[in-house]
Amino acid sequence: MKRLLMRVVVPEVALALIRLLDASWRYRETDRRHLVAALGSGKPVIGAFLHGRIFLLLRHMSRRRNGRWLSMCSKSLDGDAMARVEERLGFEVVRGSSGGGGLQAVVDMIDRVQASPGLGACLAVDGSRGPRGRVQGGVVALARRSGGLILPVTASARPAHIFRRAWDRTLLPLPFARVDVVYGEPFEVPARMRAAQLKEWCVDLEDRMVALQARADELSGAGDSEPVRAPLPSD
Amino acid sequence: MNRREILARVGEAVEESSAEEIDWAAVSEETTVESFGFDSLAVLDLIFDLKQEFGVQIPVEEMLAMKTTGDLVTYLQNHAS
Repeated sequence: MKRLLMRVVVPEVALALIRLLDASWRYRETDRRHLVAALGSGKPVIGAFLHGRIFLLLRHMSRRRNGRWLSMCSKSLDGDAMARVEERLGFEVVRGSSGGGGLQAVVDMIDRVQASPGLGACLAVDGSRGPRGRVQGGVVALARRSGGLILPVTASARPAHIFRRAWDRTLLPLPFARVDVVYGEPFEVPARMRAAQLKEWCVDLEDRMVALQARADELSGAGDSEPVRAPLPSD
Repeated sequence: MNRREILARVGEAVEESSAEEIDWAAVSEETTVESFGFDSLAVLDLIFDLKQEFGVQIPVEEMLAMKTTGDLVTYLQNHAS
């Protein structure tokens, strides 16, 4: 019964809700030239976003003028629902996450973006379980092996509701909100690197995402009272 | 291609991918894959390097299940065209 709910009912309800809310939101894009440059580069584009901003970006990035995208959803029941929503919006989907099958999913993404020119891959930099705002290796690995460009993208909105108990502090714009979508400058990473370098590139991307989120929040005049990067036990 | 030739070509890919310095001359088919100190990044590299070298893409799960370089050679021998 739960399976049926998650695979059929929840996706339909979520899709209807997303479309309804989206129709009322007013989008404003900043630095769209970065998206245009990345899409026109002839290289695979790896869209890097924060998991907590997925609802602001989902419908927007599914619009044809914003490219064709491959996304990753976990193999859990929640992932089933999310995969169906994303497929209905026009995304291609591979299944896997840091909780299981994530490495194979990254391999599949590399294969698919290389085999299908014009298809980009988008991935939450902080994975499917966090910690919030902490970049995991997937995006960088994807970019270096596919020869792609990383395109940081994030969004903010006002008015919006923040799900404070969610690990990613999911932000959901309220009806008629203004949604600010901001693109960062696309960049490449070396094709060959050791584990220590990978970590450095992850920190670099993390800094870019934090700065980009601050910009989006400033533009929208809203934002989260908590930092983008969740504090680690060692902090 | 015989097993010795495959092992030599695997060696080139492993040396490229591993975070450790590997003396490939000392590596035999009994050497454990674990001793190469692969992390997930290196596994990803090795999968694509071997694909480039042999035209065989090893699924992640099968790659992680391999115990020795001999297992790797056997897989490639069975799947390379």
